[in-house]
Amino acid sequence: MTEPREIRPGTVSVVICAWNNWPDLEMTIASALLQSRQPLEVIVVDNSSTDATSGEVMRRFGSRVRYVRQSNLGCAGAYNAGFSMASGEFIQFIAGDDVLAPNKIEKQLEIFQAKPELDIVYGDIRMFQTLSGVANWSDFPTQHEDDMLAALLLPDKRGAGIDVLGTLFHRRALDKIGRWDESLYCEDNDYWLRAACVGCRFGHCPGSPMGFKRMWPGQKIADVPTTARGLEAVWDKALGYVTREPYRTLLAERLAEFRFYMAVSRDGINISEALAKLALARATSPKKISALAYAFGYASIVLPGGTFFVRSRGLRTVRRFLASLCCFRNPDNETKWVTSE
Amino acid sequence: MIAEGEPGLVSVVICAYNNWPDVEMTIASALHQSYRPLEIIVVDNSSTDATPEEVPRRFGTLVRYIRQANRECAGAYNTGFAIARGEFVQFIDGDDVLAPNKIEKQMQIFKASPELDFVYGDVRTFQTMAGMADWTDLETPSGEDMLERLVAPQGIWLDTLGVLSRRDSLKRVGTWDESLYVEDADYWLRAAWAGCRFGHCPSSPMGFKRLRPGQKTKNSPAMERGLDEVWNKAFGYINREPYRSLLAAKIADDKLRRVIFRDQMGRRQALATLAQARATSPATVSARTYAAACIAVVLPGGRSVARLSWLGPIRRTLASLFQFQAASTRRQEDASNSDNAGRRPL
Repeated sequence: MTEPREIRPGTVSVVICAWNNWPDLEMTIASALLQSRQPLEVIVVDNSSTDATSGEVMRRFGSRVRYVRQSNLGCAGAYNAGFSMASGEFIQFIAGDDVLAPNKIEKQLEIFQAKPELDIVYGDIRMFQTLSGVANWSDFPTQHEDDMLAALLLPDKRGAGIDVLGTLFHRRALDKIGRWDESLYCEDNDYWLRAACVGCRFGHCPGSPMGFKRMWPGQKIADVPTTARGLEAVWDKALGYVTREPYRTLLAERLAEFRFYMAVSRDGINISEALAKLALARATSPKKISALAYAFGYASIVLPGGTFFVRSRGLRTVRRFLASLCCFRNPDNETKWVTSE
Repeated sequence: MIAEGEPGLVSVVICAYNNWPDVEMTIASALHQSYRPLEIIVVDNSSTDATPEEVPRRFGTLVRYIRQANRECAGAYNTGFAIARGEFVQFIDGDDVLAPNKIEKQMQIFKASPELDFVYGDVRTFQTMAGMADWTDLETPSGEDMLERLVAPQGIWLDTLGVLSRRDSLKRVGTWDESLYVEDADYWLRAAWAGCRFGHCPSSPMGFKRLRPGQKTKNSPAMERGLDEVWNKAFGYINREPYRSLLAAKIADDKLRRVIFRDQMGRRQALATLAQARATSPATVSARTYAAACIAVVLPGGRSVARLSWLGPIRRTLASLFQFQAASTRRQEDASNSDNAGRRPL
């Protein structure tokens, strides 16, 4: 990482990852430039957009933003490039189609001021949709967490509801955690886990939303099989560095359970891949995926109608009963997540 | 009232009623617009929360703060407009959020087409509490005849949050009707009836509208009554065709929908409403539709059967037999599946 020239105390750097987001990007940049709390610098990292971005950003905002264009290295790559240029003491990362609430930075800086020992301050975000129509998603709430690592690993905590858009980093946190992993599809999940693992202190910012996140048709999290593989990769990587108990067991159980659902829900994989995934699930945590659970999973993959059994809403009670036999905790939430349209 | 607006100045009138701390974000979203010059007027409808202390403390002279007896949004808008100095006016509810470039984008359109009275655009919904989203965002596409689109049974809904108004045009339309529950539907209808010209602002949202848990009540009766009042009032002044027939169709359509989808309505009242629907627009509610609806009301459980979603195709066939527009049947189903979020907050 190239060392920035000079760190300016109190300044906030907003790093925007842009990739074919014009004209939404205009609103994103405006939401950053026009924050109620100044001074701040806005860095737009353009992942080689092929739309009007390169011309329009310069034309509309000129010297008010720093604009860099690079080959497409995903959001992670854009965040890395942006941070290496940033001179602020605090860093906000944002995707090029989301919107910061006008008082987001101000509110979170107040919390940093009250508790200077914090590394990361996070808060709620709300989603909105690109196109008109029926909204169907869940917004997750955030709250103060005593143990962030556990909150990130426990399935019913939903990753603590934490999101890049709703978060403000102190620079030292980023130095401690290191670079965003450009090889991962779900780079943010990886980043939170690593942050909690290296002992970053998280503070919660309550009240009105920190920002608004765009949902568009075909968006990352709407692509269930790819996201599932992405999350699996994150947790698999985490097995390499989460060494402390009870977190390691929690992680192994979570990953095993997740692999189990990937196997039985068979989203975009064939039978032999599903069976391999099931075996991997058992190997990850033999305690979680008991022999009985493994057998049920195997049967549902091999037997005709098994997928129907796994996915059908009406059979939820039967599934719950079977799950309780196998000492599964809370299977239906997870199944719903994996198989939701 | 100030006679002439200050050229180029945009007045943002915020209606606040127990919205702290959300109103802080609302005020910030108005203060930190990419457009200048602006003035912010906060009209507090006698909030009992921290609003009267916090707004002056946080924003001081950046906003003009007025406290008045609670006269609902319509009353707050009237008060705010009476002291507004701007050539253009933005009205906003105390818990919604303006997009940072909203005013700038719409002012560009006013500049390009100075003959326009109002510029509108899409707004998007977000929810107060985390959880499942279950609303429908409505589209406000560009179109020729605003009045026709507002009174048509499958018409559009103009959201005040997404509109920027010219001062003179507001004066022409008159004050917001404080006696109505759904004052904005009435206002834009009157504006269109007065012949005002509406311009469309495309692409990213104009703002974000908060959906509170209390709003989620599906097809809330209060909302229905409120809309009923608006349409009935409009029926009194819209006397030109084809608008009058369209409005009649809309009223009849609404009444029919209410009969089928409102269980609270007693049988006698349901039949009376049906008769009104038929009387208002015999073209929309044909004799056969009327008969079928009467049967659904009279037979025990008939209305629940009429509502079953898997009977949709059968209903549609019947509707086409009865020359009751298929689209309005679809709308009935939409209405049963979604709440009023996109249409109107409660």
